[in-house]
Parts: sequence; structure tokens; C-alpha cells
Amino acid sequence: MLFNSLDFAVFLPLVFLIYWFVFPKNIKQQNVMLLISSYVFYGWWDWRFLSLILFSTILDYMLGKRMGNSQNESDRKWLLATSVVVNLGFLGFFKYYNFFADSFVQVFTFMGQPIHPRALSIVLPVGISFYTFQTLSYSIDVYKRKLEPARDFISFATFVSFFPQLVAGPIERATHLLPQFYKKRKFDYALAADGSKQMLWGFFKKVVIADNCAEYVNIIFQNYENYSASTLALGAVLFAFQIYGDFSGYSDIAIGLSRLFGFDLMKNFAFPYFSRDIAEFWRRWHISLSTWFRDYLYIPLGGSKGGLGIKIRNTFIIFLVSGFWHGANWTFVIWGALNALYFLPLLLAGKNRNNLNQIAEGRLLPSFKEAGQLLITFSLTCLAWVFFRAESVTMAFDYISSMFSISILSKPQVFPIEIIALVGLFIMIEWLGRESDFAIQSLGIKWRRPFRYGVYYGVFMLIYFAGNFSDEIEFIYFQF
Amino acid sequence: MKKYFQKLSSFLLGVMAINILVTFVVDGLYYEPYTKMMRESKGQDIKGIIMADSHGLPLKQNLSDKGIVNISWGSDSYEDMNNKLQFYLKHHDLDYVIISADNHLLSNYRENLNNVEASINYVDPEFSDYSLTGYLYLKYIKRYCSVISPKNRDIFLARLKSFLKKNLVRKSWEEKEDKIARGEKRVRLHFDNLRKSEVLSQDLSDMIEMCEAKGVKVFGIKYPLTSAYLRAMNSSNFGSDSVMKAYGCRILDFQKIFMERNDLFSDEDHLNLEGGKLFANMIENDVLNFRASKE
Repeated sequence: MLFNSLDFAVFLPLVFLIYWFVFPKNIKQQNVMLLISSYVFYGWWDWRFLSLILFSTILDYMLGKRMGNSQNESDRKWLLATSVVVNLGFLGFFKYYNFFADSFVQVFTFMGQPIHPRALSIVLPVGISFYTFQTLSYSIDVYKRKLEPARDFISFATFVSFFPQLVAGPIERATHLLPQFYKKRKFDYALAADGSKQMLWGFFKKVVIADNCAEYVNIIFQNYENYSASTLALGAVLFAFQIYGDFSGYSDIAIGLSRLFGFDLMKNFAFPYFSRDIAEFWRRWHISLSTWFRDYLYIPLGGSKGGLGIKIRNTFIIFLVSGFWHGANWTFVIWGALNALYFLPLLLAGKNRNNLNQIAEGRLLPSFKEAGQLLITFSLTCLAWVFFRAESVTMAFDYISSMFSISILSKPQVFPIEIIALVGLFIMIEWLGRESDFAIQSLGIKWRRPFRYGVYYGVFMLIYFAGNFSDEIEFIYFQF
Repeated sequence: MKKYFQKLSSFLLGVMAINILVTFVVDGLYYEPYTKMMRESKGQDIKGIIMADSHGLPLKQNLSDKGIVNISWGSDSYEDMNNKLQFYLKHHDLDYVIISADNHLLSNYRENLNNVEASINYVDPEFSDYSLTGYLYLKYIKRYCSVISPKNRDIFLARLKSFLKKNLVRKSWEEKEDKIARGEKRVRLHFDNLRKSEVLSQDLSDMIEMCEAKGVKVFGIKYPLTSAYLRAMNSSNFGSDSVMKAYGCRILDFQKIFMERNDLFSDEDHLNLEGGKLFANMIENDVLNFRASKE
């Protein structure tokens, strides 16, 4: 089920009313209700893959219990290894089988020994990368004794399949989300009102910014050979806003939705395009995934401690794995490598934690230096996004090389003035709200009621009158 | 909880007000005129009907004195035509039906862009192929819940734009200098997606079979096009003419008749009023003479 679908518009009020009015005081009943709703939400797409989630849930619940009860370190290691192998095995099979099969064919063909492995027509279960990482975080934390094993199966199953964030995150840590299923939940007006506003803003990002940009991005990327450098540059910039609007929009809806049910999910985006360097960008982009890799991969590998070689190795590992997590294509791997190359000089110079505060904190406008840093960081990011969007490595290189020509000074052949104006308005609102959790959280909060409501109606009108509703376009991150 | 619902309700009241405004405007601009023909046709002696998308609009009702009613509507797909045909076959003793056989009519573009939420009003739910939920959704939700109906939104915005631009003088097709580029752009819109619509193909077959069952003759018409459009279109064709030919229907191909007459067009692929009048005479001569020769 998509958040921007009519099905969901019926589903949400139903679940909300039953949750708060039929089971207002019983946590167990509320959890059962959420579990059933989550399975319906996921099964709406393809009910067959519910068995995969259920299997992972049962396995990790049982392994977690045994890990918690066992004092034998060797047994505990085996139990953790089982969880890791099975979960990553599923992920590997469904997401990467054909990629590896194709790559082997290419390598063997190159060596003069063509092989013909069986190509499988595999459907990628929506959100498998997200819930796999979530259950893995549970197993690892139980193994490290940072977390008690789940108290009951229903709470754990609901934690794994919690519908607001099941298919595209944020990737929650068990230590943060699981305990919330044990606590009594009371309707909190401030939390729900904030959540509703965040959902509204998320829908704006998705249907107004992302889906409108998508139309022109598709036109430019599909015919990139025929366009001038300035058009290609515009295509890359529009894609930057498409992917940001799409993914952070989903996160905003997910976080806002959880708040309606009394849950608090972790922040996933913190205005990443207002970053002054790449290190800051990665502290602000897809926070739940970058911190996951930091805690479960980068730090166990030694992090930034150790010699130069270790630092370089670890940086590349984390960025390459991150790229590979996004999809079974070399374009994603190169996207990761490029970001590692951007990040490494900062790490080696010890400047990767220079910009921990907000840009232009307490000021309306950035300084010239900050504006320059922001533009450079954004340009580097756009360049890397070309690999992310391109269908092949060759196409990405062709696209980028065509971008660096004298025609960069010409007027773009595709110039959707309305969309550019909307993106401009979006940047302005995000800039004004950059010190909040989401852009419109505090916007007009101290104004008189009619003006404050004017802001919300304004956003609603933009969604309605400027939104792109063609065929309920899917969220990009569903494929990851 | 009470406070939340109070505030949410006041917000939703505003949303409802927007919904009412848009619905009211769109009802007057679209749904009412669309179904007006159906209401007015009752009691009329109709011998033939012309069904097409916007290509048929310039014909106006120039053939009404011959008993031929033009029920074309901008963006009508074969699904819409099928819905309308069921109504006309039920209430009128038709001799023949003239259906557009334009090359783009089985396109994915036409499948997505249609008037099914309006043409559903022609359907008798008792004998319809629509499921109950599908019927109710199309007939009531899409019409009256404008906030979830992008079609209503688009009509409202188009009306607003034309209202704001009403004093602007628009160049005629003949005066436009970028005819070739415009022709190419229009053809891209119609033919870029190469998938042929099986749904519309089935609707077309259903229409012909319904007519055959009632002994009603079916003609296919290919509407006149500008040279710019024809050149860009080349041989692109989703094949509605082939479907009709397979049933033995006669296809009247008028695509090239006004190729050198840009003065008869309002844009790349639509006749202007003068062109419509001329073309109506041609249809009259061709179809009526053909009918007469058969009789």
C-alpha cells in the first residue's frame, strides 16, 4: 500500500480509530492491532512475501531468546552467526542473485570461458533491505548484551513489521523502538499535532517536489545524448531534489504517522543540502542507515582509529557497502566510491567533524564562505547522484562528460519554469525551518490562528493544485 | 484527543470548502455538458452517431439535419465510446455508427487520459461490466470528492488559466512558425509509450460486436491531420483500423485530405470550425452515398 494512495486514505483512519477507541488501554491488544494492520499494509502489495517477514521474525525471536539465556560465548556466537547468515542470505538471494550471476558470466566470458548459469526471475520483496537491517540490529544488540531479548512475540513481531516504517525506513534500532512496544501509550495531543504537520510536509515533498521533478528527470536522462550540458546539469539538480523529496518525504510521513500512534521514530534527514562539506552531508542524509553502518560495521572494523591504511580501508568499505546496499548495480558501487573519495581528504586532515552546528545558526543568511561551501558540497553531491540515477556505468560517464562542455552556458533545452519555481519555494521554506526537526514544524507557530492555519492550507493547496498524482508514483526507496 | 479532533475538524472543514468550490465549478464545466447530450437525445430521431475524441469536435452538429448526431468529446477513449454506445443502442434505432479509427486511439496515452468518470453516467448499472465498487467510485467519488480527483483539479486549473489569459490573442495554426517542432511534440505525446492498450482494443471489439448484434453498420474514420503531424507520425499506428477491418468495417481515411491547407486547422491535429464544416460535408457525401448505394 502506498502512502499516497486512496487505499491508504481509507486504511489510516480505520486503524487510527480502532487503535485509540476500541483498544485505548490494553497494550497487548494495541500491539496485536498494529501487527495485523502492518501485515495487511504489506500484504496489500504482495501477500506471499509476508511469509518471509514472518520467518525472519520467528527465527530472530527464537535466536534472541536463546542468546539471552545462554552464558556460553561460543553458543552465542553461533546463534548470532545463524541470524546474520539467514537474514543476509535472504537479502542476498532476492536482491543480488542475478547481479552476481551476471557478473560471473562477464568475468568468465572475458577469460574466454563462457558459462550459462540459470537466470532466475526474482521479484524483489519491497523493503527487504530495511527490515533485514532492523532485525539484524536486534540480534547484534542482544548478542552484545545492549538489549534484553524481546519479552513477547507480538511486541517483537510488531517491531519488525511496524507499518509506518516497514518498507522504507527509518531503519530503527531495537534499543530505541522495541521498548516502546512494552510501554503504555497515551494519546498525546502535541505529538499527534506535530506528527500531522510532518505528514503534511512529507506529502508536499513527495507529490509536489519529487514527483514533478521526476517527470523532467526522466525526459532528460532517457534522452541525454540529445541535450546540451546546461540541460544535463539541470537534470542532475532536479534529480537531487527528486530523490531528497521522495525519500525524506517518505521518512516524514513515516515519522509523523508513528507519532499519531504514540511512537517516536528516529530522525532520518536533517536538511542535508544545507551542508558545508561531505562529512556534514553524511551526518544529515539517511541518518538511520549511516549510523547503522557506523555502529555495526565501521566501529567494529576499527573506525577512524589506527593507521592511515586502516582509515582508508574502513572509509572505503563503509561507503562501498552503503552503495551496494542501495542496489545490485555497479552504478551504486561507484556512487559509494565517489562519496568515499569526497570524504577521505576531510578524514585524513582531521576536518570531518568541523561543521557540527547548523549553517548560519541564528542568522537569516549564510556568510559568503558558508554559501560557497554549500554550493561546492551540493555540486559534488549532484555529480555523484548521476551515477545513482544512471542505468549503467557507461551512461553515467557519458552523461558527466557531456555536462562539461561550452554548452553549459546556453539556456537549457528543457526548462520547466513552474517546477523550478516550486523547488525555489521549497528551498526557501526548508531554509527558514532548518533549525527544526522538519521545515514547517515551527513555521508560523507564534502567529495568530488564521495566519498559522494559512500556512497549513497553503501547503495543502500546493499539494492539491501542484501535486503530481499520475498513477500514484511509487517511492524510489521501495526498490532498495 | 478531543482537542486534536477539534483542530483537525476545523482544518478539514477548510479542505471541504475547497472541495465544494472545485466540484461546483467542474460540475458546470464538465459533467453537466458531458451528460447533456444524453438527456437531450431522448425522443430525437437519430439514425447515426459520430464518436471520436477531440478530433471529432470541429464537426459540431453540422449533420444533425441528416439524423447524424456528433457525440464526440475531448479525450474520449474507446471505453467512453463504449459506455455511450450502450446508451444509444438501447434508446435509439440506429442505422450506423461512425467511430474514430485514428492511429493513436489504442495508445497507452489514450487509455490513461479519458472521460470514464463522466461517461459512466451513460451506463446502466444493471447491465454493466463494471463492478459495483468500480461503478460507485467512478460515478460518485471521482465526481464529488475533488480533493482526490486529479481530473477535477486539472479541469479547474485549465479553466482558471484560460480565464486569466482570456485577453491574450493567440496565433492561429497557419501563423505559427514552429509547426514542425509542434507536430513532433504532439506525436511524441501520442506515441512515445509503445505499449498498445489491450483494454481499449477489447472495448473497440465489444462495440463492433454490439452493433453487429443489432444490425447496425460500423464505419471507421481517420480524421484529417496537418502535414507537420503526419510527417512526425510517419507510420506509427496502434492499429485500431486493423481491429475494425478484421470485423469487415469500412475505413474512411481522411488523414491527408487537407495536408496542404494549414488554414483549416487550429493546431497540429485539430480542424478549426471552417475545416470542420468542410469535413462534415465530405462525411455526408461519403457515408450517406455509400449507404444509399448499398440500399
